[in-house]
Amino acid sequence: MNIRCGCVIALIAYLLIHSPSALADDALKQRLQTVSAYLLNEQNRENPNQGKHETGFEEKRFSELLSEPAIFSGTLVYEPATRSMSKIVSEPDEISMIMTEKAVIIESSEGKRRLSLRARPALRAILVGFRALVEGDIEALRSHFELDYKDNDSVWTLVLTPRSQRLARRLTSLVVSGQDTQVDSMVTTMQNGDRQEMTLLPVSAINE
Amino acid sequence: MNENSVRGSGMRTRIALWFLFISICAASLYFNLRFSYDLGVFLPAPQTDEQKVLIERLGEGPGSRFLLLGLHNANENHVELAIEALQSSSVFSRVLSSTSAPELSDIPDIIWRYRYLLSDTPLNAATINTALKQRATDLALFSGDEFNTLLRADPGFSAIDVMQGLAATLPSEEDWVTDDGTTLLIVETRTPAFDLAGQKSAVSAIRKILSESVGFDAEKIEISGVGAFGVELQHTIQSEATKRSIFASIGLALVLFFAYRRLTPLILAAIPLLTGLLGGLSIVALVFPQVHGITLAFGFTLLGIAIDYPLHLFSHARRQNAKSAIDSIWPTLRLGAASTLIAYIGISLSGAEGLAQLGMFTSVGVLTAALTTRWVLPYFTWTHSDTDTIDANMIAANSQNDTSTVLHWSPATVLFLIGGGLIFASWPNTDNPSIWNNSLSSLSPVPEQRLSRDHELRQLAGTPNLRYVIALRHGDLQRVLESTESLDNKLQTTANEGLIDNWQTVTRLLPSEKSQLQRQANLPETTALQNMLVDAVTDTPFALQAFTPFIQDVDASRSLASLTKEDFQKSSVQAFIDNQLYHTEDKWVSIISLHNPQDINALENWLSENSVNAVLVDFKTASETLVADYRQHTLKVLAIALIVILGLLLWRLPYSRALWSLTNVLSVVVTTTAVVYLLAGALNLYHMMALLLVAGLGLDYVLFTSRNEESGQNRADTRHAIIACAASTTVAFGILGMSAIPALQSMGQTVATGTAMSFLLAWFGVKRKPSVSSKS
Repeated sequence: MNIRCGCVIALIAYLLIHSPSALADDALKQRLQTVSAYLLNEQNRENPNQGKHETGFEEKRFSELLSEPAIFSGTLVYEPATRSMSKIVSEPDEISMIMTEKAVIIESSEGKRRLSLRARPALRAILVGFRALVEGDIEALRSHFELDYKDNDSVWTLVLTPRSQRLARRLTSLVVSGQDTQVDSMVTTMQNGDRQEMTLLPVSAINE
Repeated sequence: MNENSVRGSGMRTRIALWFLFISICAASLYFNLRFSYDLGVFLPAPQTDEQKVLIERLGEGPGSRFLLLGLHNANENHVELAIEALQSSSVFSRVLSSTSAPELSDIPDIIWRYRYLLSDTPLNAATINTALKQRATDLALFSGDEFNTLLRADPGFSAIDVMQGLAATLPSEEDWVTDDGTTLLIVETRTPAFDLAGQKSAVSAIRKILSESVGFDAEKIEISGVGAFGVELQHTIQSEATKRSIFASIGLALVLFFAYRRLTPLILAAIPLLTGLLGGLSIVALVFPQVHGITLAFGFTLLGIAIDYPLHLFSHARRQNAKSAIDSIWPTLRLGAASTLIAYIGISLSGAEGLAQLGMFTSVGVLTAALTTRWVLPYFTWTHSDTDTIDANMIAANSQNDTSTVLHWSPATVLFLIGGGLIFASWPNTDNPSIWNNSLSSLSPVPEQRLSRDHELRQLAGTPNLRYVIALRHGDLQRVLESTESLDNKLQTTANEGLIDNWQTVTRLLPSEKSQLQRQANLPETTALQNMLVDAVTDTPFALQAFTPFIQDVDASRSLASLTKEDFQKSSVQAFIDNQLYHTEDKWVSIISLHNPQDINALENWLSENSVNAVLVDFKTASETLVADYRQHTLKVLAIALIVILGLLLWRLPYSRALWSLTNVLSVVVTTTAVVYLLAGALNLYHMMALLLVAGLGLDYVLFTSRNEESGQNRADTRHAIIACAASTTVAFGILGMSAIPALQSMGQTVATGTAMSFLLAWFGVKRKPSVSSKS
């Protein structure tokens, strides 16, 4: 089964929303560094192997399979020590996805599965993109996505579209929009028309 | 007609018969000789059900079609290129790598079509509703066309459940890279492992493809697996046979030239040997469908003992005509040959087809060679010449001091004590509590290093290496499937009790016809299913119309013909099916693989209570008992052979000489065992066979040296012959001992050591005293 990596994309967006508006490369680079700095707060920067970052989310899923949108809520987690990201869904039922450097681990009431990232280049591209964001590396991010950043006063939008045909066959776009330093929405649109709207709650850094 | 003309006429008749014999043999070989390199024929014949399963799975398992490719220092691009290039070749049915681990979307078509006949979950409003609620949760993580298609047609994920039931047999998803930086790929060949020509093509194709598409040098590619071993073995045997033959021939030629100072013996010594070779090979080719390469390589070397026969003749023919010489030595030579023959017949009764071939080849060869020496060779042998001055001084000295033979026991006693002492002293110093090696791999002609590397690569790929299985046998396929299903259902209790972690049965993919028909009958009709769905979607976000494909597929399943084993051919799960269900000796065998059994005794008890025809197989124990039984059987055969030889000696010789001879032989065997044990570690069956040969050779030497020869000339001739025989045998087997084939190496080293000891014992085990006639 192919996994749409909405949660990964959501994480990317989550990171991106903390980036101030920037029209030029230099400005965007600067904003990406801000995102990185924001994620890895000062305490963690001094000791980056400590702590993890988590935030709540609410998500609506639109699909031709559904007579009404499916609604989920849960937590997104980033751990610098292992560079892993997790999407933990707690409502309406529990299911989670942990992304490590090499694999994705999915756990639900039906059991646990490990999926290799080497076999899933699309998912891998998103993960590499995410790391590029964390590290403030715009070139690495651009190796997988076209970036279109617009800032109109305090309202801003960042549109990510896949560069590779492989990824583009599945993902149409990821649109992150917000106001000032806040994110209003993040919309993931798949090629088959399925759509996912995620709202992030304010970031909280939790140190272990 | 005078006596000479009668004798000449008789000799011509024998020559004609000999010529006819070799012509028939040559013709027979031309029509019957087929070579094989199947490693399995050197494994012992299984005696118990457990051992049968072990041997059957070793030879015929689907894993045998796997070739493991190790790419040294390959980067990611190299690996991807290699996979693509290999996948495009028609030689391979599939290519596996850590990145090609099967995804759930790779559900084989046959499983997809039959998913509702493979699932035990009933279709009703409640089960469908439960499934839809779980799918609604999945929406938080999964989306896209593939997920939607799957969900529309199979909301209960029946096909995925079937695939997950096989999960333990799917390759590991860890990166397949060894500690030394070798990346592993697995290719499955279309041809079976025993088809050496097909495997050879596959190995060549791999090297060509990787060289052309990836630019990989041959030395950067490591190829392992049953087929690759077969190809390597074929190559090794051919090159070893050529190389060893050349070296052994040169060694023999030097020994013979040194011993006889002329070239004629070199050519004549080959007559009985080649006749023996033709006779032995013809009979093996006639009796067995194929002659194993090792039988020829090994057998020809074992037949080397037959070169002793002409050497005895030549040594004695130096000062008398060949007819008189053969008449004088024939009783002793015949006794020695008969003893060797008995020992070689023992090899043929050892219980493995390869060794049976070997025993038959060598026993017929020895018999033929001895008879050729007796009845044909004297016709060709040169007569003595006054110019032959070899050992002139010694002969002269001996002639003036004719003596009789006195048997001397002390050397044998000393040697026996030394050998026994060495074994006793070294025994507690080894980790192996037994002098015998019970490992099945010790019988493999493949070098240990290659086998352990193959094991390492297989572990890396996570290919199943299951020690315990349950085997069910029955003549009727449906009965064996029904028994497997019954046990499959009951095994859940053992898992609940913690006796096993998991298990796999073939019936997960191929249920009995009875179960399939029953499940088919339980499938709801279209209208009923539509009504169920209306109820099932009520408290879920799903739209009713999304599941039209589901309704259509269930309807189609109701009219499917029952699934058969043949339906899985060429599918990605064919290997699983073939591994878990096979046909042999008119019976179907179903294998249930067990994962991590915790308490074997409890499991055995449970099995005996729950199934009458199921057998718990522990591969490790089965292989060890197989080898141990094999050895016990061989020891019994050898003990019988020794008793027969003793009887023969007591019949033909004075008791004291017979007992002295056997004591000497026993001393040599004990000492050689000790030396080989110290040098090579625990002994395998090939060592044991070699010890048998050592006993035969040793007996030959002591029989000749203990001859009560009053004539100094005769005694000198005998000693000359024994030196030539021992030297030639030690050289030939010493060369064999350097072979790259473990079995040949074991035998070569043992025989070379034993021959040298036999010679020393025979040489120093007799004393001379002036004979009565000489005194007078």
